Amino acid sequence: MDDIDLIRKFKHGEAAAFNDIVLKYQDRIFNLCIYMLRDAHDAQDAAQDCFIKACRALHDFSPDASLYTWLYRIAMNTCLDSRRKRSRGQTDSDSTPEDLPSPQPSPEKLYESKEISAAVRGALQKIPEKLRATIVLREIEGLSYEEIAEILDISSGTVKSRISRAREELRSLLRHKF
Amino acid sequence: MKCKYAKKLISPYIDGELTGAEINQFIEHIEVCAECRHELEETKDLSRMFASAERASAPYGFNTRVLAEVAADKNSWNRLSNIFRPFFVRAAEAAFACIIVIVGIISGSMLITKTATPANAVEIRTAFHLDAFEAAPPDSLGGVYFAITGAPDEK
Repeated sequence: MDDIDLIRKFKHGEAAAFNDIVLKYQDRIFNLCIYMLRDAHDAQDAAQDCFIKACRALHDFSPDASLYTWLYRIAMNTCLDSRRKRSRGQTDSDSTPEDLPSPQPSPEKLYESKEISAAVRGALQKIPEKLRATIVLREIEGLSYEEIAEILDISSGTVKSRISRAREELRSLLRHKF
Repeated sequence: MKCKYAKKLISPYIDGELTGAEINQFIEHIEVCAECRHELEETKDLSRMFASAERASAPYGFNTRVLAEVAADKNSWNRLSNIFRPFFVRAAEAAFACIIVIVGIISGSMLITKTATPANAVEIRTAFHLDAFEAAPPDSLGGVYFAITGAPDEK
């Protein structure tokens, strides 16, 4: 069932339609949150908040827009808010990342991908927030510059320059891992 | 193409965001510039690193927890509206009652003003006056009481 049908059903009061939306996007949203926040618990809270906010606002959602772009925007804003709140209190951004529930290939691959993920997530926390948001949407979610511009409410030119700067900083942080 | 400009095109080139003419110019430069070629390779390595990083899945039961939170969220909104609902209903009832009384007084007053002639105006107004009611008619229990006790009859 496509997104338009799910939204139409939700607007007609079918609660199961919202469950289908959550099931369809929960992995992508959670993955985005984990790369933005690093900590699995914070990511889970942020992903959950994202869907609660989406549920509140879904009745006003225009079918002209893309649901996943809209959800990504909510998730990204929730992650940025979460980081700001955390940085106002105490922060332990360099803490060891927790094990993540993920599809598990071979042990070697798993070890390799876990090591790479840890290095990537660690490096992401060291670059400015705006650059992190942009590069995560590009590298982790594989979105186009236009889609990223729409989600972050910036121009495609700004996306282009932020991605270049983010990669430049990440290259110098991760050079020894290549 | 100068290196400064070519370096700006590395990311859009990898991401497939360059136009045909730009791609050709960029490739021509990369073929002759070792420094830019090295930077391009490093950026490609970085992208490969992202691609091989593990993708996290939402924890088991995530959707159930979201739905429970959504239900709790809706209930809290309903509770909030229930707290204020009786107040609004009562306020509306009181306002409606006041309007009815005011309309009654105004229409009654207008009725007297319109129907009364100079001759019977005094009679009508007297009819509404409390003095028109006899406090204790002589054949009533009060009248008998006053007759026995000899209370002064004001009438």
